[in-house]
Amino acid sequence: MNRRRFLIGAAGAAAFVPSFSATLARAALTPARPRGYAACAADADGNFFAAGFSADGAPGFRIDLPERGHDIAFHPARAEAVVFSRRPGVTMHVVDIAAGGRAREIEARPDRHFYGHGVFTPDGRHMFVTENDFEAGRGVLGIYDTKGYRRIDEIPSHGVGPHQLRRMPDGRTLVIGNGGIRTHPDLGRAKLNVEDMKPSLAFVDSQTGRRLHAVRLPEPLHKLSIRHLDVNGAGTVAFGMQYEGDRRDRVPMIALVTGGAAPRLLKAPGGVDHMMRHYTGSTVFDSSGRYVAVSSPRGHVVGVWETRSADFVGNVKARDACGLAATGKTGEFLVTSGDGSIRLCDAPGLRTRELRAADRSVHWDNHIGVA
Amino acid sequence: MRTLFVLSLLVIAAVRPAAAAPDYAALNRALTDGAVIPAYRSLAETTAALRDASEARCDAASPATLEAAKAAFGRAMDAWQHAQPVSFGPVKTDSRDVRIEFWPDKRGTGTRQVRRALAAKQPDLVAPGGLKGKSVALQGLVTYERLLYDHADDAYACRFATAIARFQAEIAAAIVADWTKTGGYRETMLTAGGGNAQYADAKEAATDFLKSVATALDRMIDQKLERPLGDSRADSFGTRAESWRSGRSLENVAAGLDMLGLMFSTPGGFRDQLAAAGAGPLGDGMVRLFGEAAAAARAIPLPLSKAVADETVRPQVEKLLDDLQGLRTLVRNPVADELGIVIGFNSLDGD
Repeated sequence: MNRRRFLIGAAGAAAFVPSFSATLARAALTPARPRGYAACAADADGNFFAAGFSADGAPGFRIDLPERGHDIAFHPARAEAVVFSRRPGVTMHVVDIAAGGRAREIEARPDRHFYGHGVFTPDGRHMFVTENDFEAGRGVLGIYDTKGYRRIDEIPSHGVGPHQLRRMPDGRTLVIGNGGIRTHPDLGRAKLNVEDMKPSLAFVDSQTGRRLHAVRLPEPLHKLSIRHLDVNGAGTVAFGMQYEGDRRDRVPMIALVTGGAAPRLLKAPGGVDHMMRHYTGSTVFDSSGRYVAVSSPRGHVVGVWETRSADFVGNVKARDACGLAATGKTGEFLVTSGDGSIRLCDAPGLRTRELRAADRSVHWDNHIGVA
Repeated sequence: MRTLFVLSLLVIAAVRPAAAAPDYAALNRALTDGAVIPAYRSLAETTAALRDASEARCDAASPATLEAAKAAFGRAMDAWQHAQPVSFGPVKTDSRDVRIEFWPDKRGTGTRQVRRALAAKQPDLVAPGGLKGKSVALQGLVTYERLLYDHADDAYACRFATAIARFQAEIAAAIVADWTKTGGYRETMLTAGGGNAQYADAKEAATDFLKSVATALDRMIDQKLERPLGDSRADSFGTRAESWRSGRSLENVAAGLDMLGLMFSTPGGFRDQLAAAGAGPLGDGMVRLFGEAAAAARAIPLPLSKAVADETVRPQVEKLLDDLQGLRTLVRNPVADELGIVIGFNSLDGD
């Protein structure tokens, strides 16, 4: 289908047509040295905040948050970042970085709450945010016009409990980790359907909301909640999982998906499930897409694999480490921890060094946003 | 204090030479049998008594039966507050913890649903088993308290409250059964050492206990004290206090602190394991501080809902908050370190 026909068709089907440009999409996916990073955190008294820092570790903006934050997405063109509150949070904060970190609060629709992740379209005109239609128990992607961050529409996530999402290299397809776990805000974070959860990795056309393709793991593995994921420049998706079943079960924790091929399950000596204590935190590719790193704050470890061969490169012990981001250098990752450290991990050599001195009064939260 | 004492404990912990390791399996057994199961048994007994007192009040409404129901409610709430720190196991099955107490109710769901139920006098709610599958906002002790204190003269409200008390007695009995039955959670804790469905080893099970202590302190600090306190007297919010209708918000905090103290002081508990790890003074200090904090909460001369706005009493609440923050620092750092347990920020509660 050519693009013109598509747009006409989409406009007929939905009130809104997200902006799309292949050039912008390519630009957004071109490996480059990040301009900076941001992460959510808690201080020693348990107050929540989000903070930016430059690629060499110098502190940037800092805003207080009314509830615990999760991930942060940077606008592709403007000096602006959106901080997503952690599920079942109901606020997003739009940070005007140029104005010294002044933030505007955006509230969830009363019958929706956020899961903690979102992505911009390549041109930055729209943003897709994973949300819970909790009375119906279905996942949706809220679509926001970034001019005023008004919520203009939504599309289904094609699963329950959508968590992280990313753009595919075409700039238009979204890949979504539907964790499969039903929750309701009146019950806090309680899991309501562990026995019959059906997680999926859904590829969804952002313009029509149609599901193009979905990956599910075979039946005995249905308690593996698909949560965090990343996409490299070649379109390979890496996703990390969290296991809700018996601790004695031997299960995969991480998989790679390329095109329509079956998922490749990543392995490690002794088992990734043991190494990661059945729980993965962040999953990210390095800037070249050649390596993928996965953190486990419960296993206090970051594991690294080579994408093409799926070979285990090795792991780095890192207490309470969870946040991961690619730097501009091949094989290098930024690692943040609940113990306040920000470290660089050189994946091929498995060496780490502090990007800046750890502030022990800061507890870095699950993820790092990359500008 | 206590701030100085907390600092001294931090220093003691820092300069002490390394010693033997704690016995996680012994800790798990001690806390299961010495703290957790007795707390749930008490919850089962007091909620059964609440059911009986509620039925008696509906059968013969009088000032005497009303007072008896209020006293029974106080005992059941005490028992729940004592058990609440345990944040894993059967109390999490089917969101039982939220069904026992749906609080804080930030969206006002309880107010809305109770008003609707009372206006419609829905017969299904008060029929046998009628609360099963209903909203958590209608099932728990907060709604019981509201019906007892705000709608004492309403005969339907009395039957509604009785239905809640019955439901609560059933939940508590089920929790006791799920811990103590063959193949129950007591066995899960005691067999963790060999690896089982829940835990890879005894240390992982012990981590659940220490996380429970840390999470309980978080809840006391963030929800039970800071929310009603607000940033200042003018900014305080008395009805954000837990159990404000019965005026027992601070007793709730004290009952929870009693449980945390017990988890340290019970034979084989955290104090003994800290001693085994060569950090005896730290364990002794923790027991002392929990005891002092509970006493301080009980010594505040006004209900929390009034104390937060009272010029002379508010500082006592702020002091209690400081004390709990000090205890949290100790639990998360030296206590966890000495026990060889990591209660990380991300590992504690990820997403």
